[in-house]
Amino acid sequence: MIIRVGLFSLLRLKFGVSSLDIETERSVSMKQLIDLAAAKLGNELKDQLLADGAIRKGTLLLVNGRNALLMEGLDTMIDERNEISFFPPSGGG
Amino acid sequence: MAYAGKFLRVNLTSGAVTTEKLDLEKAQKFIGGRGLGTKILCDEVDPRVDAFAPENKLIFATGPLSGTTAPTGGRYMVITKSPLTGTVASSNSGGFFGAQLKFAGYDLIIFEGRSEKPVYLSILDSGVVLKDATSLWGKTVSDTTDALVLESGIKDARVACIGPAGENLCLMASIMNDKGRAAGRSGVGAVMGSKNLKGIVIGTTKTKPSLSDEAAFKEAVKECLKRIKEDPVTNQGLPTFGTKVLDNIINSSGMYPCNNFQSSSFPDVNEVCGEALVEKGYLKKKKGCFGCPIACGRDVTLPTGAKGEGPEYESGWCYGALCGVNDLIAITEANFLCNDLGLDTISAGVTIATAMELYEKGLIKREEFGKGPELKFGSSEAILYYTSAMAYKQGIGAKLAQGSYRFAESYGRADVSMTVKKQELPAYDPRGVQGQALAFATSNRGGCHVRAYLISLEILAHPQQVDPQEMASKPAWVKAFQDLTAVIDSAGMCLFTSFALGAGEYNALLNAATGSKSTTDQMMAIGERIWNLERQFNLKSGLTAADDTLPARLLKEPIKEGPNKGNVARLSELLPAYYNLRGWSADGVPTPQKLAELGL
Repeated sequence: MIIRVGLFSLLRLKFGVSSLDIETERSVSMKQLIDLAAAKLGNELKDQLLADGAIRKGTLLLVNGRNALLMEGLDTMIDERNEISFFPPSGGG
Repeated sequence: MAYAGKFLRVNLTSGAVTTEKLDLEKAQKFIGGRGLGTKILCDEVDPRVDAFAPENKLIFATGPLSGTTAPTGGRYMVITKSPLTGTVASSNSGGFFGAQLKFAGYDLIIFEGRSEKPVYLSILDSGVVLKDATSLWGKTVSDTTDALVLESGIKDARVACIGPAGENLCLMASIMNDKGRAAGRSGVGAVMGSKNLKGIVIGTTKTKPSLSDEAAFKEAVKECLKRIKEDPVTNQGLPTFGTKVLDNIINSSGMYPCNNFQSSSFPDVNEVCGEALVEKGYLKKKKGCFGCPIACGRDVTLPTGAKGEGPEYESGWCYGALCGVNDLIAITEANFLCNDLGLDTISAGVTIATAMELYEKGLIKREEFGKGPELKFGSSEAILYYTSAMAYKQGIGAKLAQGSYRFAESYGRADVSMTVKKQELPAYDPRGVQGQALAFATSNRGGCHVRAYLISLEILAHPQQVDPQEMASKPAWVKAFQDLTAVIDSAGMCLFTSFALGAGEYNALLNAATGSKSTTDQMMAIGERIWNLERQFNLKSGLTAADDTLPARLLKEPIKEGPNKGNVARLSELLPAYYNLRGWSADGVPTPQKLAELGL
């Protein structure tokens, strides 16, 4: 299956892509998805999204528009039916 | 003590300009800015007054931290009774004008009465005088600003003024300063226009405010700067993309209102988002206000050659997705037009979207547009044409200039107006965020996101992530956000610092600057005092608990698709708990005990 990950804001500028297709044989956890994405874009992606093995404060990992923190965090299971969006810490108004 | 210790009172009827001593005790009780300005408004103006009557007053108020080295310490507020909402209006602006007012040696300017002919206030070392502005009447904001700087003879003089929209009493007219910064909301520019006051120019020698404890203040500033520098929002996200970093976040979260809140996600968001502004090369550089280490302002040049500030997230949204427009150039030009004509972008854009829905529903006839384009969702031409028509009150623009609510009401469909207390809602569908829904409904100046920005908590995971659909904790969060925001607005700092700073940092700055010995809890109690004072003004002006509501569409019609499919704003579950927490009666009236506790 292919899981499409949307990259936004500074992630888009830093890695030069707006989305990434991750190929996997079965559903994966959010942590595994980040590992697979980092294998394509480099480990710096992990530094952007994670701190001390947890989701970096203010980083938004959305699964179908909902923050993974409100689900199982890095253990949230994901498959091709899910829409995934990664945002670095953001603010405004 | 951080206060200049004196203020100007300008009687526009008689032309008298007097300097009065600031009541320091009163100032400290309400901090300054929004709080002190509201206190003066309450003391001197009958809340039932017609907003355009000479008896209404227009107050420009700095805070104790305005003009200091506190990060973002350049803000000021404009306080008056709003012609749009009938509530207290207090509009905040950045740029450099606020600091300049403080440097001139004044905490506030109170304008009262009404001039017979157009005038402007000149504040120079040679004196403070009202001058004839007949030749400026009709001029745009940029032309007026250039003319006033030239006339002052001071190159770095700073100007606040109105454009044609304020002169023509458009109910969503803004007061602009430094050309591109706006005290935008609630029609403060129309009140200025009603007084025949075109502008203020300040070009004095700069006197920096003295501080109660210089060393402690320096330490507090250092700590704040460290936090702002370490925080990824204030150090990276906002400087790089400005507030438009939010387009994709809010759209992905399924609460980005489109076609006048008829849907909640925009298929063309990639064409108009903050990333697009950068990738298309329109953004030339970031721009900061006085003393700002964040610099979220946008300096933009379009392929058409047009240059200006913006668009911010809200402005880009209301002229974009809300009007179904996916043309970033037209959206940005509409923003520039608002700046130059002196119109609040949110209210103007939402009002146009209201008209588009009414036309779509067949309630507006084609003939009403005269020679203008059809007000169709998606029309770039329409957003530009009718923005201008609104400011000049041309054709159907005269009706649009009354704002979304009155416009929709004139067609018998007030329900199509996406407003709270007749003020147009900003860029978040409250059905997706229950705390923000409560904050919108209870805002003391009507539909507004910067009286309590719960999006931070419910979507942006700051200071923590709370489920947007969770209910129990929201009344307490809303109250805390409202009270802290009242403090920040009164201090003279920018709300965006709150992504990096907490109540303790603001308290440390205020204590060191003013000599106050407040605990953080006591400072928050001042915020609560200000909130209750504004509430009292509104209640006396005739508002009731029935006005603490949202458009029926948002309460009754579930979102049709996306992450928030099936959700409505569950306000009736939140309001009683909120009133109770505030110490208000079931009718939303502060109890005598609460007023006594707050010293009101």
